[in-house]
Amino acid sequence: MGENLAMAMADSAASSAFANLSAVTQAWQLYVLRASAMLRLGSSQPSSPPVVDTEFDASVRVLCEQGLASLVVSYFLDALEKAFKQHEVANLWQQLDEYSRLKEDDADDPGKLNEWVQYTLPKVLSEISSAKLAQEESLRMLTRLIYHGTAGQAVEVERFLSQYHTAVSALLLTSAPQHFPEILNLFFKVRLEQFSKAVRQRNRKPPSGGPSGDSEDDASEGSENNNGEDDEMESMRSSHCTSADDMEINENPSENRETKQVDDTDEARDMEGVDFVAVSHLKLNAGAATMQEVAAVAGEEWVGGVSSVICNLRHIGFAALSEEGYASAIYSLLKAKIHAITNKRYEKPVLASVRSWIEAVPLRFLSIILASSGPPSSKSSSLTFPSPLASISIPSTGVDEIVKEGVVRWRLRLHFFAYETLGDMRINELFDIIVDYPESLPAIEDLRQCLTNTRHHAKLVDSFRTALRQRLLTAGAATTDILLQYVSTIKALRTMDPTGVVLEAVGEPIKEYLRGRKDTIRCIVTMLTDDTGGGGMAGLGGVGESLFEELSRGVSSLENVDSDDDAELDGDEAWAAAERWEPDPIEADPSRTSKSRRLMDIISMLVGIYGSKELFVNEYRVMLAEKLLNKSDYDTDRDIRTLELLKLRFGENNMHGCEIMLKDLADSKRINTNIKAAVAAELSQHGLAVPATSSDSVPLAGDAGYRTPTATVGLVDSHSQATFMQTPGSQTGDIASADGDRKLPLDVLEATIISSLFWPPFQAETLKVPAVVEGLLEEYAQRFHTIKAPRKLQWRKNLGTVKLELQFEDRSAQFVVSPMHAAIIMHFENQTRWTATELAEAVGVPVITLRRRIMLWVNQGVLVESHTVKDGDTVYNIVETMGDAGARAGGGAPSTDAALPLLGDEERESAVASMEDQWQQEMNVYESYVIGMLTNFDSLPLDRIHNMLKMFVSDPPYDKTLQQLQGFLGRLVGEEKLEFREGVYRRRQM
Amino acid sequence: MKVKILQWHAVASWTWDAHDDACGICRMAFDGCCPDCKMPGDDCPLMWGACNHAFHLHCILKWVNSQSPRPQCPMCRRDWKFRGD
Amino acid sequence: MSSSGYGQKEKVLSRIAANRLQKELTEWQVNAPCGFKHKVTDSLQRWIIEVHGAPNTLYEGEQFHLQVDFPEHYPMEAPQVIFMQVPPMHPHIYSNGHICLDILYDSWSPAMTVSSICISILSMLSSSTVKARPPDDDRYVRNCRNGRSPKETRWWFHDDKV
Repeated sequence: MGENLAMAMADSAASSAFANLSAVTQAWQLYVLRASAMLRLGSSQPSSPPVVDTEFDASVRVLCEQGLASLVVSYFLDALEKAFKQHEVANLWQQLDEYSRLKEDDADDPGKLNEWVQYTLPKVLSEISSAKLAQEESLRMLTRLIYHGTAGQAVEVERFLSQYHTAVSALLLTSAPQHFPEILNLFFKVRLEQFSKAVRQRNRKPPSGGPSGDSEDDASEGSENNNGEDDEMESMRSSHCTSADDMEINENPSENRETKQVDDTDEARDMEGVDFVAVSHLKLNAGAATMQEVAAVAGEEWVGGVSSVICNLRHIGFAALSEEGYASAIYSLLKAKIHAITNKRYEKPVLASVRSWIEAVPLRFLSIILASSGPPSSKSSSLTFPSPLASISIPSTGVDEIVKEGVVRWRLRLHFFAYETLGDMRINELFDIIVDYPESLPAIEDLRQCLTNTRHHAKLVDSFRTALRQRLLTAGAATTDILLQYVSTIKALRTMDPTGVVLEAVGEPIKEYLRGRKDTIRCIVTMLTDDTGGGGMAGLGGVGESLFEELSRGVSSLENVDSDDDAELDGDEAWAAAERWEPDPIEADPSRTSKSRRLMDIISMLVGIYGSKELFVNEYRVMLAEKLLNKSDYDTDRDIRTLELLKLRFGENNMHGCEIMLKDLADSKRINTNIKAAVAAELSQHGLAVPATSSDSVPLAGDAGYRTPTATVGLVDSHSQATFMQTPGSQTGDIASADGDRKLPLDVLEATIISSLFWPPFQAETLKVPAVVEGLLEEYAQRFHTIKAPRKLQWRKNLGTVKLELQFEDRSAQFVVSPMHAAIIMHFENQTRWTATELAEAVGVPVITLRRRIMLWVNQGVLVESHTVKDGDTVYNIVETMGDAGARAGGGAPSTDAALPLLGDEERESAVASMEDQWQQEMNVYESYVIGMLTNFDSLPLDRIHNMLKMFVSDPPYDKTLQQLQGFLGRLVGEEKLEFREGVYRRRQM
Repeated sequence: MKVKILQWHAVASWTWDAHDDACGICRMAFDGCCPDCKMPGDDCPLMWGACNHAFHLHCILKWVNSQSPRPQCPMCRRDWKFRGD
Repeated sequence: MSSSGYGQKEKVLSRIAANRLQKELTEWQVNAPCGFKHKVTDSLQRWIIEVHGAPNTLYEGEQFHLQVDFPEHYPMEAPQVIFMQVPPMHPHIYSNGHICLDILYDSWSPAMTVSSICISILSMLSSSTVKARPPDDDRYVRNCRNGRSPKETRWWFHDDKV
């Protein structure tokens, strides 16, 4: 400054010829002296207006006369800045430094820190603001002095003030410690929470008188009170009504506030998300009113506190910093609210409440802040020393406009933030939301609204596909469950995204996976046709039922799906359709038409898993064929009903083959009856009685002797199973009677006669049936020919089911098996030992087939397998007594087991039981493993259990075959420990 | 061991005892049905001529009716008579 | 002469006819009669068939076109078969394309097929010893000028050998 002065004086000297050099020097010295004194005074007593003394006045005048005005001002500014820096700024940061210490010391008790911030921040801000104000006043005074009477006085004053303001702001900003924004944030956070709480309590008071909320008042201010959150949100909805009423009043003053009731349309309007334009319009008229309302809720002191902090911050140039502070406080509170209210609950819509809450809390809070911020150029508000409420009591129109605009901006911002936060949350939870469908519809509707605003569809697709991969499309999931989830997904996503684009994107992996599962078609058909409603497991009933209903609706839309023209619409409809048209979203797969995307209903989507309805129908036909061929009672009532529904759906022509298949069953039944009647008639004609033994000894499934219902054997596939049936009552004299007569009565034979052209092609399997059976078949065919000439029969000997009883010396057992299994075992009647080669020859099948199929009898303990020494051929021996069975088991089991059956040998029944016991003991080891697995995985198919046992069970090592395991699991099902449905086992729910 | 068959539920397909596979008139399989029918078998039977040529009943009737008074067998042009008449 | 003039009483094929023609077409595609080629059209009711004169006959190397129109009740009724321009010079083939061949008219049997018709026509051509129009060609063609179908003609058939 000294240099500047020297130079300035040199300039002056040049012009005024050193005349008044000493006077100038003297004036300068005086000026500097007075100025410093004034500034010191100002800083110590900020509230007193600066005193202008004559000496100062005179010195400035002298200096100005010498053309040193600019020098005077710049010195003054410099001095102001220096003084501000030394005293005020240092003081400010020093006071706030306490924060770091408190934060560390009282990490466990944020209340103390909060209290400190609430007390200190307003105090120090007010101090520094006053200091600045005082300095401004002195600067103003100086400039007035200098430029008094000149035309540019006002301009100059402003110029220097703004110069000063910039300098001071820069000073503060550059020196602000790192924790300052943190302090601001904390301040606003606490204030906002206080306000939020005040609103909550106010809403709670009217009905109950409000004493219940008192305990909460004691809770520390900053701590989260999750119990209250929902409550608050709930009450917000009613509070929103209050504010809505307020708004209405502004619009229609004639309306009576007290009688106005919340109605559904308000809510509905709210849900639509379009209301906020209207609301904001109404709200804007109410700037001052809102503030008074806020004051009424939170207390004037609270309002004053916030307001003055905002004013002061803005005054010292921290407007941006303070906005950051309150914005982040608002965002984090909003986020916390959304998380608290939405957490894992999907059955209630939350967006409307969130929006109401935004109106009620953050926007009201903001209106205070915005009002306090004032217009940037308004000097009146910053010049006066306002009482805390001053800005509220005199809202100038200018301020009101600012508030209005600000609120609109903030509303949009907060809404978007809410959409984004809620949307992202829901996107992450979408899988669970869909699991809960349709209870979760409100959540889906919320998500739809969020997506409309955020356009985060791609994010949704990615996230949901990942969830599907991890949680649904795994080997452990039952096909039915996958299908149910798929159906729910279809329904839910359709609600959310009517264009169908998202569904298309997420549906593809599900479809692909389902196509790979063998039982998918069966499950779909079961779901489509299950009219029993609650017949399924928990949750199945609902969707299954609705699918059945959907099918029953008989929508023929499927027929139209392929055609993409609107030809079938008449003029009006076509016009309406054209009006509705919207371009496909950009994410859409252009290879599909939008019409097909929209028209597809749920059944079409399920059917679409197979690519086309033709493929689906074909799959169904194969499935039906398998099912019908394994029937032994001709009962097709259910299948006929199913078919009728499918015909409505897929058209009669497509289901024609199936219809003939079912008719074949009915015809077969009639023909069978006719043939049997003819036999009976002949016998009675010849004076012979119908042999009663055979018909009497065919027990029905419901007979008392059966513990498990008869399971028929899958003939077309190779996984044959047999149900072991204990028949305590059947050890009668039948053996002797059957023994003597090698001819079987025709009554034993029943036939399903098919119109082969209309059935799916069968696996051609040659099979030679034993002569007794062959004789029966010939006789039956002959009788058919007699009735139906000139038609004749061609036997498909490998198809069908055989129910037979094996009668051993010490036991007997019944089985339902395929004809090949029957043929195999019948050969052991007369010859107890067969090599695989010989037996294959006798049965007329390749050796490899024989070896595979014969395992059923080996696993049932009826045959034992060994190898000849000579040529290594496999040899099978009949296990005539349980002693032999023990020998069989002796290979892997301890010798004590072999002795077991001998104990109960005297009584045949118990012998059968003990054989079972023995087998049980071997398998019991695995029960706990199986139960454990099914607890973890919910449900598993047979082969997975088998593989897992192989992998995990080493002591004793798991060495059972798939069939043995199946038998064992079947027993656990019988004991009601497990359930078996749709190809998977699961734990039985108690 | 004795095996006692309690029930043998067998499967057979029926077929018309004719020399040809398909009807000479409609060219559809005998074991199927003529184009006018939906159900094969009893509902759409075969008919033999004296010349031993077989047709779907519905097919040969249409032809015979259109050719009266002197219909011929579509296959061999002999005068058509129903077998067994 | 417009070859399509004969289609005046075209009716949609019955289901039986459509069904059978579909089968015949499939069969044709698998096993077409030697010397014939079905020209693909979008109509099942009218077939255009290319005929190649058999080797070692008068028509060797020549190429003709048959137009076969099927009636609603095919095969209970015979199809209308004519040669498109220019028809082969043959004592039983008129210059307007009409063919004097019994199986196309009175001797039709529903057991016949397009394939068997084609073979009959080819054999008729092959057995010809002279390339000439029928003696009554002028008179017949004049009578048919208003677009009459050959099926409306009361034919009486000359001997089988040419």
